[in-house]
Amino acid sequence: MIESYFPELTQLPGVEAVILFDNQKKVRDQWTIPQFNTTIIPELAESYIQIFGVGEKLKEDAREVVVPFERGVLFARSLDKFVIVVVARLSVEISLLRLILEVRVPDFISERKVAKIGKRIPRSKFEQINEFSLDEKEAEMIQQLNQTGHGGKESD
Amino acid sequence: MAEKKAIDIQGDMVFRLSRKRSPQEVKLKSLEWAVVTQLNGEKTVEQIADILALSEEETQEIFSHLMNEGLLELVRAPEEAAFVDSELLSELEFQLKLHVGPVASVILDDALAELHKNRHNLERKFLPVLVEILSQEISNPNKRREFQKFALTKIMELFTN
Repeated sequence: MIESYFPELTQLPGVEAVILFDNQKKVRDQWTIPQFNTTIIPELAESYIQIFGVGEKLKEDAREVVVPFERGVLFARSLDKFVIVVVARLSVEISLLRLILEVRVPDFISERKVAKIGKRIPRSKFEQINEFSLDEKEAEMIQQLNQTGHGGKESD
Repeated sequence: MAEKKAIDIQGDMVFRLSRKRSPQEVKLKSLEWAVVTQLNGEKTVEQIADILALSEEETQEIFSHLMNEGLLELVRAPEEAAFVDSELLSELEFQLKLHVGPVASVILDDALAELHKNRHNLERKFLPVLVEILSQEISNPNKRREFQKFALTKIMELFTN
């Protein structure tokens, strides 16, 4: 899927991994350079479902999250029922990753096969957050979010 | 003791071992030896860092030290300084004109000014940002995407060749 719908990502020097998973944290496809440690992929899926899930609950426009780390950058984009994560060296321009997705995502989303898969996936990311994977503070925050009900910030 | 020079090591630089000085003349740490064994005048700094799983900081530190000790010779300078061909900018301007009309030239010059650049000194690495700024000026989503598609093809030719 990744190589056919997002070919530029796999051709770009400095891109180390591209992971596509759905709102249920199921990895739909992954592309990595041989040296990439693939054991972190499920953890990435879990973390981004939490990040985008909380953003969704708070009604924040958290469509894209970019996190720099020691050796590069993690670029993640929420695609409604899917999430795409790109792990790249710092030399890769974020605006280029963004441009690739701007061009490629509409074709990906509207493709018949993808639309068919999408039908079986819930739209909500928040509901998919696993309580057991949260630390104390996170669990408390999720509980508070659930108590406010409306998902927004409490009024003064 | 001689003062150490701060060297900005770029990922696309290529080095080989200097013929003037042997690594055995210098006291090197094990990671520095590992880098020395990888130097072949073909691998980029980034490729060596990947192979040895070095962080950006370690890479900068090790290559700077080896450079300061006179153990490295630069084979290929960083390409980031390479400027975008003004012909390519004219092509982008033409495409933009198809979507926003004659004001495209002004938009392009304004976008370049925003980046503190002009048509003759835009570094390659700034091209995606320029396209991002220009795209925002196209209000029709379909036309915007058409422009972005064109730009992406050109950028990929530049970045992968």
